[in-house]
Amino acid sequence: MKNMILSFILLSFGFLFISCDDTFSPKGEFQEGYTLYCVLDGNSSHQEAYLLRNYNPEGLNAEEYNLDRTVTGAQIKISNGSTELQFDDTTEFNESLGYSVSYYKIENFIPSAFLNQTVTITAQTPDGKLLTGNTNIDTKHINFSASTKKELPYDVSDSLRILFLSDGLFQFTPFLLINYREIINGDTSYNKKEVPFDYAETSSGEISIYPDYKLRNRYSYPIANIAYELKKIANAKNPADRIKILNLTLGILQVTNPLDIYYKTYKTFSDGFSIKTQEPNITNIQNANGIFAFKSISSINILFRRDWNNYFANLALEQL
Amino acid sequence: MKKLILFSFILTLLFCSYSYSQTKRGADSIGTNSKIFNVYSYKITEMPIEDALLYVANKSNVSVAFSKDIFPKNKKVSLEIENSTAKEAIETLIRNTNTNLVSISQNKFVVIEKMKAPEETGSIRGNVTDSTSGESLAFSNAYIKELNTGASTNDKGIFIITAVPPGEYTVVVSFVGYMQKELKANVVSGKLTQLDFRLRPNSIEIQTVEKVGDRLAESNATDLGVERISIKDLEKLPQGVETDIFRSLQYLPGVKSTGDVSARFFVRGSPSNQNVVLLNNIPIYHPYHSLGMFSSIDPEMINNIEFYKGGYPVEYTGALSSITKLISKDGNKYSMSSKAQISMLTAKASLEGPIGGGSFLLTGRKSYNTRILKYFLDDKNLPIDFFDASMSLSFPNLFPGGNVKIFGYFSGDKLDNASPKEADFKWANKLFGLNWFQISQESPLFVELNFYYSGFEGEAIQNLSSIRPQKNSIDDISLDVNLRYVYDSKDELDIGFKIQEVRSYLEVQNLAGITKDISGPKGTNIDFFSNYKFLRYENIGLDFGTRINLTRLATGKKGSGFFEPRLISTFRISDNVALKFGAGLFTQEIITLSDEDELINIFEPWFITPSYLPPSHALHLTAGIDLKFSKDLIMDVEVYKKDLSDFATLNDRKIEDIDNDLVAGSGLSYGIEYQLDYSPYPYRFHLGYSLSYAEKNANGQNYRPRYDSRHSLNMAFEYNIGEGWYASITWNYYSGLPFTQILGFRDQWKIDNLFETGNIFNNLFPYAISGERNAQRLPDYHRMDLNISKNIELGFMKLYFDLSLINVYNRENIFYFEKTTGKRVNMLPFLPTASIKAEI
Repeated sequence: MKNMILSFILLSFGFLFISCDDTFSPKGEFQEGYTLYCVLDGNSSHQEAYLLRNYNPEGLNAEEYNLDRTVTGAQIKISNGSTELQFDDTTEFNESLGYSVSYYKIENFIPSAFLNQTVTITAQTPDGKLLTGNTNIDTKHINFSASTKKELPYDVSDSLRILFLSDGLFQFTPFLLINYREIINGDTSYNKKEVPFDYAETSSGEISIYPDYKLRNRYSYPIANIAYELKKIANAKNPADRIKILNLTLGILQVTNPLDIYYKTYKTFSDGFSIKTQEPNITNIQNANGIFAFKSISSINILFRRDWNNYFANLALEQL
Repeated sequence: MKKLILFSFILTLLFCSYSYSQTKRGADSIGTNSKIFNVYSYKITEMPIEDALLYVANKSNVSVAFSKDIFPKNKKVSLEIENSTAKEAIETLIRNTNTNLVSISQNKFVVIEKMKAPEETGSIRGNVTDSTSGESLAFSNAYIKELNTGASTNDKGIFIITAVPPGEYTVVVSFVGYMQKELKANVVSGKLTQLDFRLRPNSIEIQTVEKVGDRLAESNATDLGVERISIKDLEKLPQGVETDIFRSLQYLPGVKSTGDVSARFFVRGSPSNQNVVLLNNIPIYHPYHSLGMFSSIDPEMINNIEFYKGGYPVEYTGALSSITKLISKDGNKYSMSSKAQISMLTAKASLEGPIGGGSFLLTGRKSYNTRILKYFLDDKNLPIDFFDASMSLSFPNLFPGGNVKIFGYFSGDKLDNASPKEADFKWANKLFGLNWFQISQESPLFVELNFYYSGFEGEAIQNLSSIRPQKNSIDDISLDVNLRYVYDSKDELDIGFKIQEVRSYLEVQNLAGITKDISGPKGTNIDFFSNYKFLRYENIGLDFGTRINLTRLATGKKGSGFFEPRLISTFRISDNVALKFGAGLFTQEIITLSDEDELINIFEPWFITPSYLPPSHALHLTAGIDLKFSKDLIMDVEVYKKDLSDFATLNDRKIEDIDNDLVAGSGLSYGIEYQLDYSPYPYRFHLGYSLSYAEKNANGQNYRPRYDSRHSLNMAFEYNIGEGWYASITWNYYSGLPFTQILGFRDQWKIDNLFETGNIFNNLFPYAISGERNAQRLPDYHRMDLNISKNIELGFMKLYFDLSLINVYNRENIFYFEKTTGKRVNMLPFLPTASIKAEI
């Protein structure tokens, strides 16, 4: 038995010895790389692109890492195959970060110049890496239906229905804003109150709790919900007679892939019911990460008809 | 396709075993392993018939039982034959006597007087209990001395031996820690003889270190992958902070601890949520206290434990990996008694005694000081409060032969953080069950009825933390009836059915405060099972059957059912060597929603597999060999392969809110396990080793899951010093668990408002760049613990002192590294613990 005890102890220490190699690091070899973000804005002639490099903080405390990781000295261009435009390398002091950052911009370029074409972005980094990405400038020319009322009557059993004249379904997210003016201490401010998207009834059935992008060609907002939001403005502001309701802005936002997926993923992760701990990585940039996409907004203004005043006497409906 | 192969395999085996049973004995005597078919030459000259029979028995290595009275006095016989079997030789020897030869098994014979017809046999049924408390002694051994045949008791302390020739026999019952007892049984043809064994605890020194199932009287027991553990075994192991049922399982090969900080365990390359724990046949959904650090089942209320590592019998269902079956004590049937125990974490007490022809047992445990838990969590305060309580009422003869047990169990955990910046958690289990075990007075038939409710509620309360608020509840109401009939041939037939209704609720909340129930609806499952145990030959055991699920919980509709065929077999080559094989299809419909990349899932909600996914299935294939080198030295080796399909897995590519949270993945695990027990009293040495591999595929990605532990080695040395002193030392080694390295960070643009896509600098946040998933391994884990205990009897009171030294050489075993800071957090440092128990 003594031998057995001895063997036991020897065996234990033998294993202890062979397992003493405790070299371990939660961090692997640092992976150099870049991230490129560029969303061309169809409603602006000013376009921006952002190029960032990967970074390797001490330990794993990335939140505390406050060194500049924007990249200067890169050449970033967009092209439709025949026309090539180069972004200007720009460096500005960023107050909230407390240091200068670099980004790239183009002035006087309206993306509709490349309508219905594929646009390529290329970024040549200072160390010679070439990043590329493609997107389509395929915004539809939106004609809101003639059935859309120019003046919205107060009929809580009815809906504000929007039908598009375009052919077939297309991907967009709608929005509806109540525009109002507020006078405080003689100063006037112009504000918007969004009628939440989850009030909208769309042709595609179930909707998310945040704006989502679906193939659809119609949607509607129940007027009762618009009235409800209007009441909220009246109740929130005191005294309400300082408020002047102006009108409604009805619009749609179109984005191209994969910006819609990128946005949905983030919103699902942060606002949805997911229990994931890390959101999936969405990118369309070759040799790097990031997003190259296009967005555009189409909208019309709709007035409130006089009969709304019967129900919102404390609010001044300015257009009346 | 896999099901088809399994069915074909089972059918082939059935056909083979049927063909074997139909083969005329001796018709194919050469080349078989069976002793009855071995042929010898015998030459006997004028030898007393008794000696001649023993000569034949010895030469041909069979046993022959007879009474000297049945032969004429001084009868001498001669024999000279060649190439004959033992049976033929014995028949020749007794030809001219007034006796017949009866085959008890292939190598056991009884010579009886002719007037006792050999085909007329009786049965012996026995009930084995503790003489001081009346508590059933499960898995004890009973055998008939004259016939050297026997059986072991079931989890209710009942055994049955059939096909016993009429006559008077001595039945011996033994159980570790108790005095052996013999009773005379007068077996009458066609009748059932009832015996009542009350074993006296061994007052000198008990050899409780042996596993009670190691000495099963049945040599053909179909027990592949089963471990039977007595509570006395548990108490001899180093206790840590609390004696813990689940931690004791982790000494078995194939069972891998998830670390010092969690009592959860991985079995044969499966995650912990594929283990089902049954308490008196009732599933307990969250059997843990303190974020999973300890089992919530107080060992004080448990009588015995059966642990199936895989390939479990058809009477159980609902787990892809393992079944842990816990049977509670009935309570002292003869006198009132009480116990009180205090450890560094909890205080507990129990009261038991007779009541109205039956017995009762009340147990309760409550945490009183959680200061010690800071050692588990890197000096972090863990303001947790927990309790568990149980009650049991048992009436052994409420009806003639009918044992009725009413059982209740409650547990609750509450984690109230002082800081509003941290989340709070609550868990509670509620179990209520009725068990009616009926023994037929006239025939070897057992009927068992279980009716139970099992409820679980959990809540994660967000406060001002980043934890997502969740609420989970599950209500499970079931009724099952099982019948077992034991044939004279020793074969057994089991049939049964189960009706189960489960309602699950899982409410999650988003940042906007909107709640949503993402669980499956309530569901009903109706299933039947039938199982046949082919035990008529002593060296062959074959257990085959299937469960037929008419519906599945997620739909509760006809046509959504499935089969779960099972097979377990034992082929004993010799007294010391047995080969074993098992195969089966297993299904789990009630699952948890957890992120397997998280080391500790604080909140692990249970719910029904949603209808958009098929139920998860696992195909188990197991083979093993048992070797008994001597009375004290036993070894077994098992290999296994587990194929998981439709493995419900968190959808890590969920893009939209309406995308499913789960996807169907697949998994594969395989490995080899080795176990050695050397128990020369008063010592015991145990060694368990396993080599295992696990892989998983989900969303098209193949990777090593977190529970892919490669090597595991457990050693335990126990010494019964005497005079109430007991010492043990254990050493556990596990190779490190997989993890994913971080290769750096990049900035991710969090687009909160698509109307504003300029000046993104204020919306950039770090995004970790991960290496290949789980491609790296944490450092190996190893730990040595020492334990010494002392029992003292002070008149009417017994005192038990226990001192444990945890992590003797202060090994810094990594628990995790913080993903935000990279800080390494270790598991338990060197820690002395103590407890004292008083029993009146």
